[in-house]
Amino acid sequence: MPGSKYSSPYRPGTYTVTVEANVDNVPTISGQTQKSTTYTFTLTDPCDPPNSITIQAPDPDVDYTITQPALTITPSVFVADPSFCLFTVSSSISTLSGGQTPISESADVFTVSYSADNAIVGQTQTITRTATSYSIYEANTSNRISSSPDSFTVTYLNPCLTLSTRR
Amino acid sequence: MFTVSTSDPTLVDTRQTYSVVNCLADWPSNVYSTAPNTVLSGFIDFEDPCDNPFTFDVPTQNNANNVLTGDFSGTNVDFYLNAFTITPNFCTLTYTITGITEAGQSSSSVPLVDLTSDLTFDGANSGSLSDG
Repeated sequence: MPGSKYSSPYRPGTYTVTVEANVDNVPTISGQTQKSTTYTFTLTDPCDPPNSITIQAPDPDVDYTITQPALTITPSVFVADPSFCLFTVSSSISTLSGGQTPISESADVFTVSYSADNAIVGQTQTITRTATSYSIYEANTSNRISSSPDSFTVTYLNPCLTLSTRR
Repeated sequence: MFTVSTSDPTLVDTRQTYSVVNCLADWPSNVYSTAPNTVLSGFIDFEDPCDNPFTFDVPTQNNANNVLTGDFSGTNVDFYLNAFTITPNFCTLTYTITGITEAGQSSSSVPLVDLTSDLTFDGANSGSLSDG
């Protein structure tokens, strides 16, 4: 349905309305007893671009002790204004010096798991997420806007040191 | 020669009878009952001038008074219609929204029934499409 994404059946666009006046109680003769005027109005696409896209709340930095069960991180959501505007979320994960990949991502949910060795202890990875708007009616992508990056870190802790500390 | 002129709308579509009485100026029949006279009678049919108004003009619409954009915020798109002018001014008009088209589309996604109006020229906006 047109415009259903905006909870409206209407499409953004230009509309022309015709208003007709007829002289009462006489035969209708166009141009003589019947005349009309038109006006044009425009429905603008509120999502091309939206007013803003912001992160609902900053994500805190996270510690992960290697060998521990997988840590699932569901980051804070982005919010568009107007709220019905659509956006996509992309993310990037900084690399570790040894090329290890303890963080995986699926549908904007991050999973941290690593038990191979102590090589990444003390290192930090930064996850950066960005939301980018789009409109179902957009003619081109030039009006899209992006949120400020939402970044948080994952720091890898030494399980041996942690156990030692607990004693 | 006699001239008939009226602006009385109640005469519209009526037939009126007229009579002309001829009599001697020095022996007027309205004074002397035996004075001769002749009476000529006829009809005057008063046609409806609204069948073909003297003027019927579509004014330029004042778009400065109109908010002709909407952004799906729920705010009405209002259009104030300036009344058409017609003479004689006793000719009355009925306004109707007859159509809406959407540029570049075969049919408008805004249906005609969604355009509300009162089209009563009382200066009060009682619909999203209103009056002047």
